[in-house]
Parts: sequence; C-alpha cells; structure tokens
Amino acid sequence: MSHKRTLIRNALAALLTGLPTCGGHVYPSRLKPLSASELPAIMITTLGEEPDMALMVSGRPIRRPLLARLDIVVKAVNGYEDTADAILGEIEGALFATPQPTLGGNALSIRLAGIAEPEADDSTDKPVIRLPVAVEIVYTS
Amino acid sequence: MIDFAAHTARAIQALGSSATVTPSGASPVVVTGVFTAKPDLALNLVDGFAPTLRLKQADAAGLEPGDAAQAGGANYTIARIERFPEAGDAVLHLESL
Repeated sequence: MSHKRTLIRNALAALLTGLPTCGGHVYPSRLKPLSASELPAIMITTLGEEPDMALMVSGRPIRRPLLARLDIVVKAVNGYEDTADAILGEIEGALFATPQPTLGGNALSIRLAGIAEPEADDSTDKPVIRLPVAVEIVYTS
Repeated sequence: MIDFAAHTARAIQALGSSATVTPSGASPVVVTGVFTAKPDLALNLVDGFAPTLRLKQADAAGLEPGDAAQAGGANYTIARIERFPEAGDAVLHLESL
C-alpha cells in the first residue's frame, strides 16, 4: 500500500490537472528538464513534515503537517509574470474550493503556507519564470 | 602590430552566413555573421537554447538592444550586445519572438 505522502502527491496532481492555463502540464516528482511543449507547467514536490511528537502514542493516529511545493513554470517573451499569477489563481481556486478537497480522503486540511519570490532567467531564447508556492496539507497516519 | 580586427573580419566572412539586422528607425541591412544556438537550461530546469550572432564591429555599429535580427531562419530581438573593439567584433545575444 502506498504511503499517504504518495497518495496526497498524486491526488494533488489529479486535482490540478486540467486547469485552464496549464491543462495536462502537471508533473509530480519531476527531475527531468521541461521542454517547450510541456509548458506552462505546475511541478509538485512533497517536502518535509514535523509530526506533533507530543501526540506520538502507540496505537493513536499521528497528526502530520506535510509541506508540498508547487512550482509554477512559465516561458514566454512577454507577460510571463501575469501568466504565473493567473496559474496561481487557478491553483487557489482548485485547492480552496468549497467544500475543500480532501485529496482522496487523505487530507484533513489544506492551507496556503507561502509564496516565495519568483525566480527569473533570460539567458535562453525566451525568459523563464518560476513561482514557488508552498501549501501545508495535514493528514494522519 | 597584429591587426586583430582584420583577422576577425576574415574569420566571420569565412565561417558566417547571411543574416539581417534592422537598426531602430532604419532599413534592414544584410550582413554576414556567425550564428550559434547552443542548447542551454534556464533555471537549471527548462530546455532552451542561447542564440547569438557574431558580427564585425562595423556591421553592429548602429545596433541597440530591442532591434530586430533575422538569422538561422528565425526572427529575433536583440537582448544585449557585447562589443569587443580590440578584436573588431560584437556578439548579439538574441531572444525569440
């Protein structure tokens, strides 16, 4: 049986697939570089978690806040930052809909943990921007 | 004294191909330049290439970032220009349209 981290990551990918701007360009656990035909994209990585140690009692569920990073990646001559913001809005709409998604019954809650500074690179044929978005997904195990 | 600019001009003439540059407010000019499109990664994540066009200094004299260039069968905007007066050439760093 898959770990809940895997289930949550895959459920996030399923939830974010088909949004208007990125469509099917949603990539969980991706290390390989993205080509032009795979952009704009959302890359999903599950990060660390700090379980509540005080509640780690044998036989009881442990509350685990899992951080996930959603990298919005856009390559365009113009308007790349506007496009990244539009994708962010679409992600927020999907994650914080009412009722809030449970990611396949695995998430107790989802909250926006932060939006980091965008990174930009214009060293290649078109500028590229990456907007990192952190979300915290609480689950139990 | 070695005339580096003359050597550079001969090399560009020998190795280059036809390209067109359009200084702002002027007509397109056909020049000979060495076009390269080295594969590169942006943000160590996104595949792309770094197009450059090396011209004789005289051919790049009136050019500025934002001007148009056509090379290797594609149209570009000049993103920045490196000028090498001693060597007698200039490298145009290009951005796709």
